[in-house]
Amino acid sequence: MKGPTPTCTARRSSTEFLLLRGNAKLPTVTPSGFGIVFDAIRGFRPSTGPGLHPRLSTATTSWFAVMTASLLTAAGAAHAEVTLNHTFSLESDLRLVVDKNRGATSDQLLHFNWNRNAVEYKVQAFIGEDVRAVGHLRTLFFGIHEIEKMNDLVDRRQMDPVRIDSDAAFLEVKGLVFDDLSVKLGRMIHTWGTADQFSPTDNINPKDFEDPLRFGGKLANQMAVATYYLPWLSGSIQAVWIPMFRPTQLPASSALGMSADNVSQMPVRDPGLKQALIDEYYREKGQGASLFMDPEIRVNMPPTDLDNMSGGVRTKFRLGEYDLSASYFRGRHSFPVPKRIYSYSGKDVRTAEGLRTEQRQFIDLVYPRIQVIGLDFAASLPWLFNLGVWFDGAAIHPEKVDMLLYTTNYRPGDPCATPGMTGSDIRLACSRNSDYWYYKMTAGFDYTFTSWLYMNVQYLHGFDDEFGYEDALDDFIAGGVDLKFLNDQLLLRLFTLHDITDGSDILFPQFILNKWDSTELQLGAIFNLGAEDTKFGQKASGRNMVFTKVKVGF
Amino acid sequence: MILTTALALSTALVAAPAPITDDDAKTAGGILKKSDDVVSNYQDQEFHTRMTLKTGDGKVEKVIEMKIQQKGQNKRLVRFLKPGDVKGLSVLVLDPNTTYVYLPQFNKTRRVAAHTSKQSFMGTDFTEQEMDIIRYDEKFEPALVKKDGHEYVLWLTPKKGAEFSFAYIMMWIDEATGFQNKMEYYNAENVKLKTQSRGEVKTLDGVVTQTKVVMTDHIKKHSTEIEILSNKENQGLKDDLFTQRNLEWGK
Repeated sequence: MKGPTPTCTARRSSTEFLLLRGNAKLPTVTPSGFGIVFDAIRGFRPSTGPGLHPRLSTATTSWFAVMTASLLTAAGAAHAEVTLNHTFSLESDLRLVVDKNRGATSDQLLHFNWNRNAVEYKVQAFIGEDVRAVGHLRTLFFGIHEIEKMNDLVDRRQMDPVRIDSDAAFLEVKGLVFDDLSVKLGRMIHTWGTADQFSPTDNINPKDFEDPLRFGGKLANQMAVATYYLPWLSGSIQAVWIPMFRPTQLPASSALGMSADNVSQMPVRDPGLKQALIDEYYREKGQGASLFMDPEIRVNMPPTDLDNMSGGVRTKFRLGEYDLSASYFRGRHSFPVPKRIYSYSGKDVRTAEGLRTEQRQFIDLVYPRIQVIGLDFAASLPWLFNLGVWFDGAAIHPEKVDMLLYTTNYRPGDPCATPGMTGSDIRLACSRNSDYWYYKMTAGFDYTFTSWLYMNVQYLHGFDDEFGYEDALDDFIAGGVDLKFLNDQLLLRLFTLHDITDGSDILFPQFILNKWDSTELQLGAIFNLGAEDTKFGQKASGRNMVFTKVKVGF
Repeated sequence: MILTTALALSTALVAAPAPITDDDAKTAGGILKKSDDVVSNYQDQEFHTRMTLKTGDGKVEKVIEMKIQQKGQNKRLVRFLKPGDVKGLSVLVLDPNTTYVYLPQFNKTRRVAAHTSKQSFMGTDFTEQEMDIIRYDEKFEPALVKKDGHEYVLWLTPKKGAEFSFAYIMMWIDEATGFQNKMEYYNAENVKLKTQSRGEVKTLDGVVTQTKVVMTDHIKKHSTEIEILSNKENQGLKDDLFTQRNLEWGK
């Protein structure tokens, strides 16, 4: 049984994976955000957002405002010269599903399931020599309507869905109090670690798995980052404070991992608990008496109180040929973890097959606390053909989470069962991740064979969504090659992510044409291969698709 | 890495002239050394350069603009200004084995290994080897072929142990300025592979400078043109300019 697998295309928008290792091609997308635009859209209403406690949210916002003002004052930037640096980009993306059996239903061969057009703007304002403000705004136009009922036909929001988001709206000040101190405040994406895309030490921002082709993307979050530079070590000490928890965005396909038809693929990694769940399902189904309903999934978001702030420290320095860093993070696992599963027999319902008893399930998801101690390094090895190498390892100490299955149907013999009891709260089976450490790591290398052939390979122990048990962590090989043709104008990129543990794969071939200035045309495909109960074979990992993409930056 | 060495070539253009004296001209080695001294005579530099890639019929394929700051022979900071898809990308070189790239899309600074020097750079006509040469007298044995008007013509063959994709270079050095005006690259069969021409001498910030180089690949029928748009020398650039902190700052 595998967790709610993000469609691990193991790569971000096409160009990024190789770019990270110094390749020439670049993604056109530029991150960022404009808080003022959001205020305008919301009609200047308090932007507490759903689920946030208004009082706390306002207090936090005010605190940031005060801090920002203080920073500006301290930097003496009130009358400094302002230099602006603008970046625009456009991206249009169309995808065609080519599988039949990986969706909610099995009758949708060859259909378009994704059309997204993004217009982005990023601005950097340099105020004097020591102050920088960065804003980013991304407007997304979705070509696939959301019409479901008559009223939607008169609602432009359903006819032509649009969304705005932002990767950055922050202020940075250099030389605050000390020359070697820099402070950043606001909404941003902040990165730790050295591995390409799969960094277990990079827990500052939640991941963004909305787009299966942008694996490794992150969601911006409010934070403060203070960095004290140590020139004599070519290094730094950094502290990060994140006042409010923000979860990872899951792919649309993740819901398929929790449907009644996929009980064997529910995100329960513990073998005992998983078996109990499957037994429960088939016992009821075998009796022919139950009508299984899709589970009702409840997400228990951590409150935005002081007790749920997160943060960490990291030190980075140079030792010989190696860039080393060590880090500590205290926060929450940004993927949801099932804590309780309730399985109840409900009312009797008359169906075509006769009278059936509804079998209902409720799943409570939580975001467990974690502590992460990280170590990473990167180097270029002159004694080994100038090979590029890196390592990114994390020791993770999770909060103890009892994963419990409750049922009305008592099953004797289970160690967690409550003997002699009946009713709705009988604990049928349980597993618990004890508060012991578990480990994730990524180790990789890259090499350029010729001017037109580049390779990048990584070994991974543990994936982003995997949590809590050493035996719940799979091993993977992520590898890719870049082949350039036509004087670098055409790039063939072949990437694969192989789950060593269960044998499933993701294949991600792409042609990228970069013939004209600032313009990129892509044609590619993504295939999820493997048995239905494997990491990438299960439906939750997403559809098999071919896609075209156009990017322009200026 | 191509990114870094490409800039070495641009750097070679921004050099103060000095005439080849009779003493220098007594030997081919003296001529080449004096010319190399002219090319590498700076403490620090800051310049803005444009690379234009053209097809054989002169059609512009791509324009790349960079701002480059460098100090000594190793420390170098490059910021890409054009085209749009690389705008914001910055490269910091501390020594031949230590290069960092700042990727604005990820807000991440990345160590890149020295093997990337084998990669071609956005379709330009310069190879790593060609761009990596700052002082020719360190890698070639010169022989004086003739004096052609106001230019010395040298025949440069690789020194023992130095391996290049061409067999020899014919180089034209200006007697009055010491500038390297033209280089032709030949294979062992005496087929001309490429021609590099340098010219358009201008005074930028008080320094007389060659501001343009064109590398033409006669086999591919393709050319790359490099122009120096502005140049400042010996400003006393500080060491803290060449740090990861400044790399990420973005200005």
